[in-house]
Amino acid sequence: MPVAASAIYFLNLRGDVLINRLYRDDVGGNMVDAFRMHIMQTKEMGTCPVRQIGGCSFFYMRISNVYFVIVVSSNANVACAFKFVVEAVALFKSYFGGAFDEDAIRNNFVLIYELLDEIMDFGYPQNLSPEILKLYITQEGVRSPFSSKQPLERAVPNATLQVTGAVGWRREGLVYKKNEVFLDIVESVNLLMSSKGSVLRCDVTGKILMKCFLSGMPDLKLGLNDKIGLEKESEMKSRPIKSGKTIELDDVTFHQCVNLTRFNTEKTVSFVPPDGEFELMKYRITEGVNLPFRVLPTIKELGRTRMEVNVKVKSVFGAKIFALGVVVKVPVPKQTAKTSFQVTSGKAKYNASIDSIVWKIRKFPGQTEATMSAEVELISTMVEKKSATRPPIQMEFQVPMFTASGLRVRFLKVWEKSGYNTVEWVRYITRAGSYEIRC
Amino acid sequence: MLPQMGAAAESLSKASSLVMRIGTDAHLYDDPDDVSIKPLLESRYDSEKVDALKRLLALIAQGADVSHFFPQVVKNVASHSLEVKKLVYLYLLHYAEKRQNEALLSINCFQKDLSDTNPLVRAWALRAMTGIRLHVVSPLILAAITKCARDPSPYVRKCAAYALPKLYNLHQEEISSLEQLVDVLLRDNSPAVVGSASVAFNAICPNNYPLISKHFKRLCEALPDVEEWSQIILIEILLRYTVARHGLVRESVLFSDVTHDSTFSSVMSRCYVEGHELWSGDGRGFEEVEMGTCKNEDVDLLLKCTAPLLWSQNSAVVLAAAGVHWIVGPAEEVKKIVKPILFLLRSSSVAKYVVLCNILAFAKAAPLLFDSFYEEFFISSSDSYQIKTIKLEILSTIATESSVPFIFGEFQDYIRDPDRRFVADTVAVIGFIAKQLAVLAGTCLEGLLKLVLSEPLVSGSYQIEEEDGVLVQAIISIKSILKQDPSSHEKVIVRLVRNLDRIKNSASRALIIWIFGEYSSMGDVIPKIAPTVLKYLAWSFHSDEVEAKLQILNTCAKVTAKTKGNNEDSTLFKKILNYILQLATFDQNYDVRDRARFIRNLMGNKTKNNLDIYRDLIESMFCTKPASSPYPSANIRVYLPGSLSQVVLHAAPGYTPLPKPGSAVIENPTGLNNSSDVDESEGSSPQYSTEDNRSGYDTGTEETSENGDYEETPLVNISEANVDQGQTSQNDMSNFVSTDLSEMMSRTALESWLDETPSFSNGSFGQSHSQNVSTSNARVSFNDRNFKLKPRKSHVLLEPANSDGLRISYSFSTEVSSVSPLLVCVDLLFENFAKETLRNINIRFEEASGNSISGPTDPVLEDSASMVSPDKIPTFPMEEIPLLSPNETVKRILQVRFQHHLLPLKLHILWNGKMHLGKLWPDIAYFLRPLSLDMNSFVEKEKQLPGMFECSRRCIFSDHLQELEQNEKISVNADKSLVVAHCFAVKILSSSNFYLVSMDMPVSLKPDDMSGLCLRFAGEVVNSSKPCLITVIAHGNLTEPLDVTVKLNSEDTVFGLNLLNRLVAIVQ
Repeated sequence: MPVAASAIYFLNLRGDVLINRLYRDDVGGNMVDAFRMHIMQTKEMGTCPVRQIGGCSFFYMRISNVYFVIVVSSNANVACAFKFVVEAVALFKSYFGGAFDEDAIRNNFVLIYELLDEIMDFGYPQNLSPEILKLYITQEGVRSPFSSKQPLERAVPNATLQVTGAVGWRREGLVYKKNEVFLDIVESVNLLMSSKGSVLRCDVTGKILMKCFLSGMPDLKLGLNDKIGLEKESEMKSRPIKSGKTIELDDVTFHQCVNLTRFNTEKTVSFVPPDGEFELMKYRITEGVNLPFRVLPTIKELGRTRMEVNVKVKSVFGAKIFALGVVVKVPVPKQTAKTSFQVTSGKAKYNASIDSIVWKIRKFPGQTEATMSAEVELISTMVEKKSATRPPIQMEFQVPMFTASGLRVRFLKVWEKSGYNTVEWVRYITRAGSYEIRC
Repeated sequence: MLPQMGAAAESLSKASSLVMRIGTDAHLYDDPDDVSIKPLLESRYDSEKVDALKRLLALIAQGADVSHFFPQVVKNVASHSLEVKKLVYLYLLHYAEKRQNEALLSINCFQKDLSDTNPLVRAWALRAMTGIRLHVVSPLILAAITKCARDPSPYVRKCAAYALPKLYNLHQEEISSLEQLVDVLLRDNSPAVVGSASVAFNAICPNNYPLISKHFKRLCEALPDVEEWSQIILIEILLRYTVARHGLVRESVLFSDVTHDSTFSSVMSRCYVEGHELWSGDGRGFEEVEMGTCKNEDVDLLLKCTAPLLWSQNSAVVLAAAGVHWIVGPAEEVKKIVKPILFLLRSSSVAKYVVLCNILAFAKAAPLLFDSFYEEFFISSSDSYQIKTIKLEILSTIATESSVPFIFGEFQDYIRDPDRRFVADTVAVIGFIAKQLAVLAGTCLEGLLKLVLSEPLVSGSYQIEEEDGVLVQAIISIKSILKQDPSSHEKVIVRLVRNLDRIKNSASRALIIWIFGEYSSMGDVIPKIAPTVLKYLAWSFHSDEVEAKLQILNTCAKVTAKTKGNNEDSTLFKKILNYILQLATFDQNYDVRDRARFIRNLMGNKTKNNLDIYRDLIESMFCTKPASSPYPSANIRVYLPGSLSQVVLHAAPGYTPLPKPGSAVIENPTGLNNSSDVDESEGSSPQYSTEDNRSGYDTGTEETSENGDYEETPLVNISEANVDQGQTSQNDMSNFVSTDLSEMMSRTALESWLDETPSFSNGSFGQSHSQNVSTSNARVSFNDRNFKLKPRKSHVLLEPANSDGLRISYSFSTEVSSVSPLLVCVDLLFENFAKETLRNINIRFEEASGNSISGPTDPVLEDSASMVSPDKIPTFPMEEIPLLSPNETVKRILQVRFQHHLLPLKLHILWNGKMHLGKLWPDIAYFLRPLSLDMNSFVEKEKQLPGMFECSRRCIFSDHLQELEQNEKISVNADKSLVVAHCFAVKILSSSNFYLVSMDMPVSLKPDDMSGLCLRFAGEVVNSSKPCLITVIAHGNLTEPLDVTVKLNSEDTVFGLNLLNRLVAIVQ
């Protein structure tokens, strides 16, 4: 039996129940007390997401200042439960227009009750696609004014349902005046570099986000510059591969709408998209990663109470593009007393709560470099703790119009019976995942 | 989306949220009570109703009980506004069970809604109706589901499918009709409905393989289109079916050579199939199990259809699909699953934990699959401690000679991690890897040694305990590596020993001292340094802690014993040993003193001839290890991939292993014959049961199905079962397709009300009553009465000291006298301790006050036994024992009529012509005959004995603690609460003569909570033949003494009170 959740609770950080919904009567109402007693009030909180207390298992996840707790009384599919939590939170966010926190829950509690009634029946997860759910839900979420653009005729719940079996994620009869598709390729670079500058580990996880405002039942086909897809294509059209960079996608997963059988045989990504925003695919690349930044740290300890930190950051992407929101966090010892900085660009300050120097650069052009040198004074303590345990330097950044993997969208074809024209927008962005440099 | 957009949106939404807040429900949530809700509910306007209902929901969310609004809310169920309807349904679902009678009012409305034109309304009505869980209306629900299962809208049909498990949960009868509905829904065209139907299948009849066999091909093909949540279930069903039908696959990774550790994988496959509890741990293979091959069509199809799912976005689907390939896929293709599972590690951190748990199990069975992906398991600083340990364990299993340099390079960094607990684990893993790959032993030792010596040992700072943990772990790892090949690592030992003085931690010192002692006679260098080391140890002895002191004693003794010959070393050793022994004898610690004395005696008085014996003795004695590495855990626990059990590593309730391979024999796989399906199902209706007669006499009868949906006509068997077939099938039909709901409701409802009654009027005993009602779903009753009773307590009638060596002991027997029901049987045991034979032993009853034995009776007895004149039942004299030779024992049964249940009976004991007086003390607990009752008649009788016939007392029961402790040693998996209940029953049954009517165990939320354990005993009072009922209810936690309430119902109140006191004494 996969998830047959017996109850769902939303708790705030103090352990007050915000929302509870019992699906089965095999767990008592006091289970939430058990959760509070045995999980929230112990040190174990946040370490292991699956806990058993008594005959019941708790799967929990913290999202901003809310705990989402699923109580299960029997053997359940844990992976399924967590996937459900993630999806449900995404759904709530799409309804609330962004944040999922205590306030949002208070503002929308009736909606949440209604949603919980729809997305889980007797403990079994149901369709969580926001577009389809809008057909069932009578309550309206309190959304930010930046909600996505609405189709011309708003779905009226009273309308006869047109959820056909063929495409469970899209309803029929959508009409848009202007047919548009937005594609966002979002990549995050994970890097672990040794202090000597050699790459220990490096990969890119990317996802393709899509926003569709298309009428009718369109059939889409996406072409990327990935190696397998290109080879297959050239094989089928019996013509040699065009020159140009190809990349090898190591792993991919697709949204439910993608025809997997077709991908299996023809290696093409074809699908009927859901209306609105969704994540089309995720992928990972381990080879041929273009690192956007190089970091060269030098840390010198001058005696017992002083140290000198020098960090040089080099941008190695094209000169025409900029990185935004670059943050370099250089960890310093706990007993830091005083710091002084010199930076070539941006601002640096010492943040005592995370024990590091935070150096922020708002805009970082390509093919340039910036340095920061800091002097750190330490409180001399009785106990000399060896500096052997120094955490790595972390870095955050966003580089628009750059993909660390080199992935490019070659084409996006849209077919629909009525044969309308579509406008396609493609954007690329690369972010730092866990970008760490040991020092 | 894009960050700059997001940031802008955020600031704007902040600004607007102040404005927007007015339009939100937050004010309702914060003060739901600020207006009177009742008038709002009765308002004419929908908007006001909505407002009121929202307030009620807010109150529910905050935990308040607003069930008193039920009547007003129920009225609104007829509203035409969808919003009101939905909110009313939400309210109803919450309170229907509490207010059953009022909830019945809403049923009519649901019925009406079921034929609404809007499919949404139909679906909601069905869902609310099944959700309110009223036992009374289950026939109506069945009819509703039957109707909705053929609804034109797939959404409604889907709801109907999900309604089936709910109905099944509520009312576990009529399974066959539920199964038929599952069949109908599995046949549906819409994949969404098929998915939901598979959920229902799994809940209702997971072992009905014939049903799957009919649809197997279709289900496989529909698999990619089914909703992702149902995919998980459907994959599992198909996998179970395949295994049950075709057996395990011989080519699969579980049986192939890819596996590195063949024992592990065979254990794994056994665990999958048999579950952990059943697996006895013997090394039997799978010879007896039927094995299929992947060439099989079904297996092939399943693999083909699950392969694309490996790219699914839903991690649970990927895991389920991977599980299929793992279990039935051919070994060559199992590589396919590796990358997709590894990719799952990129999802959220909680999912990561779950996936890693599963990878660990896979990696243990087939490390070669993962060995080239070791980098995936490198630790990143954001991982939680649990994830880190699992990753380490995986790394240790998949490390190969080629990857180990990189892994060790990583470990270099881990060792500097601030989390010392994690460092200790890393060190343990290094030891483990070095043990497996002998080539690396040298490098590992070098590294570990460096760690041991470089640790900031002098630091007296924070984290000192964790720091020590690392040190101890490092030395343990060194020790375990040394054990592999001690002679080649002599230098390591020497270096360790040389640094002994620097190491202050006593556990580490003890370990090093042990290592030295263990290998002291090996190699060239160690024996040379031995005298110096011993001298050092002798010097440091007084400042060491107990742990190290004990090891010093052991080591000295070992070294001394191992030195052969009579050179100067050996005399030196003896001197040192004596010195240390001297010191130890006056140590403050008992253990050290004891050890010293022990060694002194062992070593001290040896003469020439028994020298060798002592030496051997010493050597074998001191081979004890000071501490053993906790790594790796020896016991293998494997559960099906993806299950909760695999994550928590014990069978969670409801865990079912794979079916026995090849267990499903499907006679007619084409599935045209309905009868064979029903045969397999649990609740097969009687007309199908005589399947052997099917052959020649089959007649097809049309089932009068409402919509005529059946493509096939079920074959009904007409043979001997002819007569009752008529009735049952009619009955069946009416339940299944009856349209006359009101008529049906009246009939069945009445029946179920009648059924219900006893449990409500259950008891005058408040506690048991409430317990019964509230935990009615979570209670286990036992019919197993095979208790191993303890020997009955025996009392001494005659001591040998004052009776020429004759000893008579007696115990009360549970046997019922064959002569008269008023007599109590007593077992007498005669033993002769004298050197001479005793003759003519006999026992007579004293004729008190000149009357016969059965003479005057006490008042209580007199009136109760007045119907049977006491004079008519003589006490049977005992059969005389003519001869009792020395050390002989003889048993006799004495049938006694006690006149009073507290006063002793005086006896004359005769032997060798002498006479002695003896007193036979009664045991009131045996003045009963077991009264065999069933639960219902017990409850009935209990009801007849209220008020003054009832008495109860409380006491403490603590016997089970001991029992649990013993059990702990034997088996870890035993259900503790069962043990306690058992212990309880044994306790009472072995010292009284009762019949155990029932033993109810709470299935409680906390495993240790025993509250609600309820045992019922029944007996009949010997003298009055009146029933006497005992109810024992326990409260409290099983790890502590239980608080027990013993309640007794009996007409014979004086007897009852005395019995109660006795029982309390027994229990305590």
